[in-house]
Amino acid sequence: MQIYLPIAELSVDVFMLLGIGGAVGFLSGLFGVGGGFLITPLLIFIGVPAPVAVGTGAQQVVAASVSGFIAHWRRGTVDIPMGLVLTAGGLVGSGLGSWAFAALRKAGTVDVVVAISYVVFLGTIGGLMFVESASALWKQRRGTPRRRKLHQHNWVHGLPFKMRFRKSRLYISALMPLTVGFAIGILSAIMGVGGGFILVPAMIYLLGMPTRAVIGTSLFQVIFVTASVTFLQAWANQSVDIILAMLLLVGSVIGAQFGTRVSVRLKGEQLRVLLSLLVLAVGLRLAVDLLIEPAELYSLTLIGGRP
Amino acid sequence: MRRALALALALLVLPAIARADSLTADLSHRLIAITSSFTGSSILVFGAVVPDGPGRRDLVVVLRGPDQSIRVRRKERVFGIWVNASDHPFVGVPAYYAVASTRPLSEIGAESHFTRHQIGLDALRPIDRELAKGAAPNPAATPFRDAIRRLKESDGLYNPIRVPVTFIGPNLFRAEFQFPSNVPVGSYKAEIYLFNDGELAGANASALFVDKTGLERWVYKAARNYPALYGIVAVVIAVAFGWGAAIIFRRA
Repeated sequence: MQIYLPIAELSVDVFMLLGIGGAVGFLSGLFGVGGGFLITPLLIFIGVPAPVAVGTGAQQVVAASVSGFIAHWRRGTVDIPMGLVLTAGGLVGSGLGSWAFAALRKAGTVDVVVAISYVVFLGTIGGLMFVESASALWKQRRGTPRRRKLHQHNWVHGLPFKMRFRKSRLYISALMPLTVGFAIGILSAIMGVGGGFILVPAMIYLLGMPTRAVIGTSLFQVIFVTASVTFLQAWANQSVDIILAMLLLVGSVIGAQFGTRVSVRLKGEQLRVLLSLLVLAVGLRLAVDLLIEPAELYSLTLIGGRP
Repeated sequence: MRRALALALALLVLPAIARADSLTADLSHRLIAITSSFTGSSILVFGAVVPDGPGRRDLVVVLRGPDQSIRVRRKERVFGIWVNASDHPFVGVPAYYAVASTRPLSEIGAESHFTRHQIGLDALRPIDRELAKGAAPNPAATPFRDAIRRLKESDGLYNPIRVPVTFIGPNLFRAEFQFPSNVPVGSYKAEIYLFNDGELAGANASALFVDKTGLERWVYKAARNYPALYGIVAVVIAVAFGWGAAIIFRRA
C-alpha cells in the first residue's frame, strides 16, 4: 500500500515504513540509544531527501525514547537527577557545537570533520567496549568470581559539588556528568545525532554507572536533545514530515516496548557486547563509504530551499 | 524569461511565414492533484493540425517544469577519503523535462531550431550562475552540468527515452507523458511546435499546475507558513505517541 509523503515529496510503501520503525524502536528500547544513526541512513536509502531524513528521524527518536523511557521508569531504572545534570550539560554543549558546526561549514571542512569524527568515535568506543564486555563475559563463563567493586577511587572523587545519585549508586561531583553531557552535546550537534551512542558507553565507563540504570537515564537525556533537534529542523529548514514520522512512530513505539522487555532480561555484559558490535558495524560501514569510490560522485541540492 | 520571449516572438513572426497551417492543442488535465494515494500520474497532450499546402508535418511537444537553482556537488578524494570537495551553482534548471516527437529530432529539422527553443535534452543547457553574472565561461563546470542531466534522468524527472507523438487519422495527434511520484510541485508548461519540412510552422503553449491537495496540502502549507508551531506540534505528537504506547503496553 503506497502513501504520498507531503514534505519528503515521494510515495512509499506503508508496511516498509512500519517495519523500519519497528526495527529501530526495538534497538532503541534495548540499548537506550536513540536510533538516529540507523533511521536517517535507512530513510535516505529509500529515497527520502537527506534534510527530511535528519529532521523526521529526530522526531521519531523522540517518540521511541519517550516510550522506552516510561517503560524503564516503571521498572525503577532511571536516575532522574543524573539525567537532569547530563541534559543541562548537553544543552550548553549542543549550543556551542552548533556554533562550531557553522564555523566549520564556513571553512568548508565540515564534511571531512564529521566523517572522520564518526569513524574515529564509533571505532574507538565500539572496540574498547567490545574488548571490555567480551572479557567480562568470558570470565563469567569460566566461573572466575567477579569483582564486586563498584568503581575505582581516584582524583575525580576529590572534585567539589558532590551529589548523591541513588539509582546509580554513585556519590560523585556533579561536574563529572555535566562535563560528559557537555562534550556529548558538542559532538551530537556537529555529527547530527542524538548522542546516545557515545553517551551510553561514557556513562558506563567514565561515570561508572551500572548498565541497567544507564539505559533509562540515557533515554531521558536523548528525549531532550532530539526534541530540540526536531523543533530546530522544522523551524529552520521545514524538513520534518509529520506523516512519515507518524508511520515510523507506530512501528517504533511498539518495537521500543519489546526492546525494553528483552533488555531487562539480558545481563549487563551481554547488552554491552551486543551494543559494541552494533557500534562497530555502523563505524565499519561508514569507513567503507569513505574509503571506497562511490558509484555516483555528484549530487544535487536546491539553492534557497530544500531539495 | 528569455525562452518565453523567444516563444512569443516565434508566435508573432510565424503567421507571416506560414499563414495557413492551423494548430490547436490542449491538455487532459490543467491540474495534477497530489493526494495521499498519489503514485505518479500521466498527462495527455492532444490537438489537431490542419495543414494547408504541401510538405511533411512534424510535431514536437515539450513538457517543462518550474525552473530551479541548483548546486551540484562533487565528491573527491581528500587524504584518502571521499568527501564533497567542490561544487558549481546553476540557474534555470527545469525541475521536470520531457520531449515527445513524431520522429527523432535529428530527422525533423536543423539542430539550430532545437537549440534556439531548448527542445530536447541535448539542447537543454543549465546556465552556470557565475556565467549568468557576467564571469568568463568556466570549462570546469561542464562535468557538473552533465551530472544534472544524469541525476535527473535517474530520478525519472528528465525523460531519456523519446515519447512518441502519434497521429490519429490525418489531423488529430496525441502524446502521453508520465509524472513519477516525486514530481516537484509548481507551474508546468506544455509547448507544441509544428514543423513543415524541417521549418518551424507553428507553435502553441498551455499551462499546467502540479499541486498538493487535501491533507497533503494542509501539512505542506503548515510546515511552510507556521514553521515554529509546526515544530512544536511535531514534538507534542512524538511525545504523545511514545506515552500512548507505554500506557497500552502496560495494560497488555
